[in-house]
Amino acid sequence: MVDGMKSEPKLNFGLTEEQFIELLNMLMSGNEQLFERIFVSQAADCIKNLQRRYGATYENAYDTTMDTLIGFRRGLIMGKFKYGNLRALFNLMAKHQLLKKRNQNKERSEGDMELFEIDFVEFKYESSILSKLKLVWSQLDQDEKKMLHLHYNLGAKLVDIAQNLGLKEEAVRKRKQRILTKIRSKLSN
Amino acid sequence: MESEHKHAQSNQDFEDLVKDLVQLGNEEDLRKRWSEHIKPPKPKFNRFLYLLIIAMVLAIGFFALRGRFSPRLFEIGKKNLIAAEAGIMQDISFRNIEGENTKVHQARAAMENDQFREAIQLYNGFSGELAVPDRLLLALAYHYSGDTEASSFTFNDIINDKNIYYDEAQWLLINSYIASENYEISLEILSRFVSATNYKEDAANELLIKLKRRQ
Repeated sequence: MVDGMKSEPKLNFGLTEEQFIELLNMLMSGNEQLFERIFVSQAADCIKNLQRRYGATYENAYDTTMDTLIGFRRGLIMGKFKYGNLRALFNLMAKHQLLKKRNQNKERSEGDMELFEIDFVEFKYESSILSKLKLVWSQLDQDEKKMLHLHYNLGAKLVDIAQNLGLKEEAVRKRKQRILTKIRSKLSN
Repeated sequence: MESEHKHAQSNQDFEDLVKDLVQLGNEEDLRKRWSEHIKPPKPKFNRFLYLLIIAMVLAIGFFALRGRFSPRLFEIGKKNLIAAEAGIMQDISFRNIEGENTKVHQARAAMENDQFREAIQLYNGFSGELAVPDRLLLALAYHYSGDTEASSFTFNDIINDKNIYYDEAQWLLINSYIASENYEISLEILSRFVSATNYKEDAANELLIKLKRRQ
């Protein structure tokens, strides 16, 4: 190494450690932009990889990649993944999802299996209930969706949401109650 | 105490359901948005539906064409129209069929002299009903004069005429070819005629045997 030459910062999935922390902060505040810029743009490569290395059909590779993106995003939000070899983790997770789909017990994926498990809501309910849930969700407006996402998915407290939305805590509490009443009435219809 | 517990449980269940609803809905929205950036798979190709559509198109096409150009008579007639014409002329002369009329005679004479347009005019000018051989000659006259549509129409008209029998028209054509010593074509038509219509009449079968022997 030549003296005086600055070493390049290590990149992981195109991210420095600072950017990774920024990505987590953005996700935790409901901002998906950076995640989409970094990970969704890699989806095409992931699909190709699954097709080439594991002989997946395009349909399977596409579904697996989508599931992996969802699972990886969830893992980031839950603090499962630390800054490290993100690309390898992402690819392992995709492989695990694909093999799980194929139900091939002979071929086991490496790494921590539990790390890659995704509890999809779809598996918990019958299709009729799922359709109803999707319908109710589609009838909510964007602000209502955002508030619910921050509170239920990201675990944000109402006081933080109030700060995020520039509202008083009491106003947020009332709004939450109104949304829940709306959901309850739509579900009971 | 128990009702309070039930109420709390019910509230908790609802909270859990909402949690799932939010997760499901939010991730569904993300999938939709991401699918705009990732090329989605093509819809699955339904082979059965595709084959069914092709079969239907072919069936419709077949019946449409069958109705328009009709039957074998025209197809066969096209193979050797001159021989058919000669046969029909002979058939007319030895059967001495009805239609003994000046215009019809003149039309036949015109056909013999290859004056097809004149023959058409004369046949069309005849107010009575033309006999089957004359109608066949008219169809041939249209054909030779280049009016394919009228020719096809006239052939179809003969075949589809309920008062004339398809068998009769076929029979006439077969005899016409025999009369003009076109045994090969006669045999071909007769074979098809016998097998297609399950024609059991002895005369047809005898003729078939004779023609095969002659070959």
